[in-house]
Amino acid sequence: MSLMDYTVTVISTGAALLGLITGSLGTLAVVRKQSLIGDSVSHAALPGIVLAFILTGSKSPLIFTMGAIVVGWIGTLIVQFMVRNSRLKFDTALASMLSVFFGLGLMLISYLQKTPDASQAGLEKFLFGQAATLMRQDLFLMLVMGIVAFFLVILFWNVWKVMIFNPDYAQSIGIPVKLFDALLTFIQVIAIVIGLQIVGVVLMSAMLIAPAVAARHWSDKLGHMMIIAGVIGAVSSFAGATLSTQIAGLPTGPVITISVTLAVVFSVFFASGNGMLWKYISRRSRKRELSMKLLIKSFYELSLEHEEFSHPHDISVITLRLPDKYNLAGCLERGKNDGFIGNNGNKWFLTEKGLEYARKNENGGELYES
Amino acid sequence: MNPDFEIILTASLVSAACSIPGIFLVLRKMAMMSDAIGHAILPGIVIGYFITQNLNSPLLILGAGLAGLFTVFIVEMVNKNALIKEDASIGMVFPMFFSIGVILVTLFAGNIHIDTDSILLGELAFVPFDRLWLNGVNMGPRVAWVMGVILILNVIFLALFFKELKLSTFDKALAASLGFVPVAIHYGLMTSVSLTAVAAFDAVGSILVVAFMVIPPAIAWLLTDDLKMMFFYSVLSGVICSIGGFYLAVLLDSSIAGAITTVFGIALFLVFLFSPEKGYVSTLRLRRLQRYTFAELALLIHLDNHKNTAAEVVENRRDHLQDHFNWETAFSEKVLVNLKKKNLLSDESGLLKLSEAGEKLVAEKKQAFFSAM
Repeated sequence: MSLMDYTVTVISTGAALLGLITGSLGTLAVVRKQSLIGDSVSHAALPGIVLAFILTGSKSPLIFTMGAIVVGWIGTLIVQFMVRNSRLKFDTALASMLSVFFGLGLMLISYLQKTPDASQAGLEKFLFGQAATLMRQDLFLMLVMGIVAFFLVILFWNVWKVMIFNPDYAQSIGIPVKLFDALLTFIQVIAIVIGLQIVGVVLMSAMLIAPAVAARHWSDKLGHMMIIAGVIGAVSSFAGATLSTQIAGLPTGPVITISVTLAVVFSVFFASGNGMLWKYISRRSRKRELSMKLLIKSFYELSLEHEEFSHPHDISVITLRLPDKYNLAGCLERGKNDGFIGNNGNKWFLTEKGLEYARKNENGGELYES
Repeated sequence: MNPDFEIILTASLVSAACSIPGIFLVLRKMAMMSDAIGHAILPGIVIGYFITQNLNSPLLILGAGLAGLFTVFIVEMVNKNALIKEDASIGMVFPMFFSIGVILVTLFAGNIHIDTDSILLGELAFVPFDRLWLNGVNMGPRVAWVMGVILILNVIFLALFFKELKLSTFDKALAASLGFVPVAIHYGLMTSVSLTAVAAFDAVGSILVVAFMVIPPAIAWLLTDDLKMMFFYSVLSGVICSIGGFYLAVLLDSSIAGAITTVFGIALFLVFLFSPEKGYVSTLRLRRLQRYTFAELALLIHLDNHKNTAAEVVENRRDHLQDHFNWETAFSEKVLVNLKKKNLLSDESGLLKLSEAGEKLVAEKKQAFFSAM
C-alpha cells in the first residue's frame, strides 16, 4: 500500500495518537507502581463490550468504548477495595480480576453466539486489535477521550503529584484520597480502552508501560517524563504502524509493540542522564579525575620534603604512595599531557601548573565535589 | 468414561496442578507472573513447532517451558539494569515475547495450523475428542494424561523442596543465610509455572490458566494461615468450582473454561466477604467489637479515677459521658447497657458506681499495663 493511502494514513495517525495518549498517561501508572493495571483493565473490557451490546443491541464503537470503560473501571475499583480490606495483595487481586472478567466475557460471548467457533472468530479482533478497520470517526473518538483525560490530569496536577509521591501527606492535608484515586484510575482506564482497537488486549500492557520506562531514563521529573513518554510513544507507534502497512501480512499491534520496546532498549543504553552509556562515561571521567588528583597529591607531598617543588623523583618512589591497582603509566601520560607533571627519562617532577592544581585541591574536600 | 466426567476430571486436574506453583506465586506477590509466562510461551511453541512440525510433540512443551524461563531471566535482567520496578518490567517484557510469537506465526506459519487465539482460549469442551492411543488402545483424553503427569511432577517438586520453598517464601534473608540458594528456588518455581501453563493452555487457554493458578490459592489464603491447609483448601475449591462451572456452562450452553472462571470469581468474592476470620464482614464485626471493648474499659477507668473524690458527683454522672468522651448518646447508652449486663457498674439515679467486679477488673488491667511497661 502506498504511504499516502487513506487506510495507511488513518492507521499511522491513529497509532501516533494512541502512543501519545497511552504513553503519557501510562507514566502515572508506572510511577504509582501499578504498571500491570493496563493488562487487567484491557481484559476486563471484554465483558464490558459484550454487556454493552446485550443492553443496547448497538454495535457502535462509542457504545462499546463506554461499556469497556465502565466495566474496566468497576473491575479496578473492586481490586482496590479487596486490597484495602483483606490480606490479598495487589498482584493477586489484579490477576484474579483479569482472569475472572475475561472468563465472564468469554462465557457471555459464547452464550450469545452458541457455537464456540463463531465466538473465537469475533474475539480474535478484540485480542489482537483490528487496526485495518480503523476509520476517521474512531480517530475523532480517541482524540476527544484523550482530551478529556489530559484535561483531568492538568486540572488536578498538584493533587496527583502529592498523591503519587506521598499519599500519607495527601491524606493529612485533607485531600479525599480515595475519591481522587478512583478518578486517576478512571483516567488510566480511558487511556487503556482507547488502545484496544489498535493493539488489542494482550499488547496493551506494553503500550502503557514501555514509553514511561523509556522516559524514566531521560528525566527524573514527572511532568517532563509524561511529555517525553508521549513523544516516544507517538513516534515509535507511528513508525511501527507505518512499517506494518508496508509489508504484507505483518500484524500492526505486534510491530508497534516491538517498536516501542526498541525505544526502551535504546533509552536504557543511550539516554542522557540515566542511560547506561552516559553513566559509564561519567563514572569513568570521575574515576580519572580522582586518580589524577591522587597522583598530583603524591607529587606535592613528596615535593614538600625538598627545597624546590620541582625536585625530580623516581617512579618507584611515587608508586609507594599509591594504591595497589593504580594505573600509573596511564595517569603519568595524562598528567604530562595536561601539563601537571614533566619527566626526564625515569625521573618525574611537578610543574608550576601541577603545583597550583595540588594546592587548589589540598584540603581534600574538593576531591569529592565534582 | 462419559464425556462430562472426563471434562470435569480434566478441569480438576488442571486446577490441582496449577494450585501447587500458584500458592507460592500468591504468597510471593508474583501472581501476575502467571499471566506473563502464559503469554510469553508463544514464541517457544512456535519455534518448537518449526522444529518438530507436530503440534502434539512433547518437545513443544519443552520449548515453551524454556521460553517461560527465558522470560523470567529477561525480567530479572531488566530489573537489575533499568530504573524500573518489577511490575513494569513484567508488563513490558511479556508483550514483546508475545509479539515476536505472533509475527513468527504470521510471517512463516501462515498456511499451517497454529491459531494464536486458540493458544489464548483453550476449550474444555473439545477435551473428550482428543484421545490418547497406546498400542491401539484408547486410554482416555490426552489432555487429562498430560495434566496428570504435570500434577505428579509438581507434587514431586513440592515434596522434595517443601522446606526450601516455604522458608524462601516467608523469610528470604534467613533462607539465603542458611545456604539455600533463593535464585535456584526462584527458577525452580518458575519452571514449574511454565510447564504447568504450557500443559494447561490446551485445555483452558493461557489467559484462564491465570485464574486456575491464582484464584484457588487466593481463596485458600483467605481461609487459613497454615501452608499445608492452603494446599488442601486450594485443591478443594478448585474441584468444587470446576464442577459448578461445568454445570453452569451446560445450563447456559457456553464456554466451559469461561464459566468455571466466572464461578471462581464468585467464590473468591464470597470468601472475601464471609471468610470466618479474615473475611470483610468478620473484620468489620471485629473492629466494631474492639471499639466497644475499648470504650467500656475507658469508661471503667474514668470512673475508677474519680471514685471517692470531690469531683465524683460531676465527673461520674451518666449525662457527663457525652461531653467527656465525645460519644454519641446512642453509643454511650449501648456501652452502659453492656457494662451493666456484665455487672461491672451500677447506675444510682444518674450517678455511676463501679461494682466490686468492676473495681477488680480495672485493678487487673492497670497492673497488666504497668507491668508491661
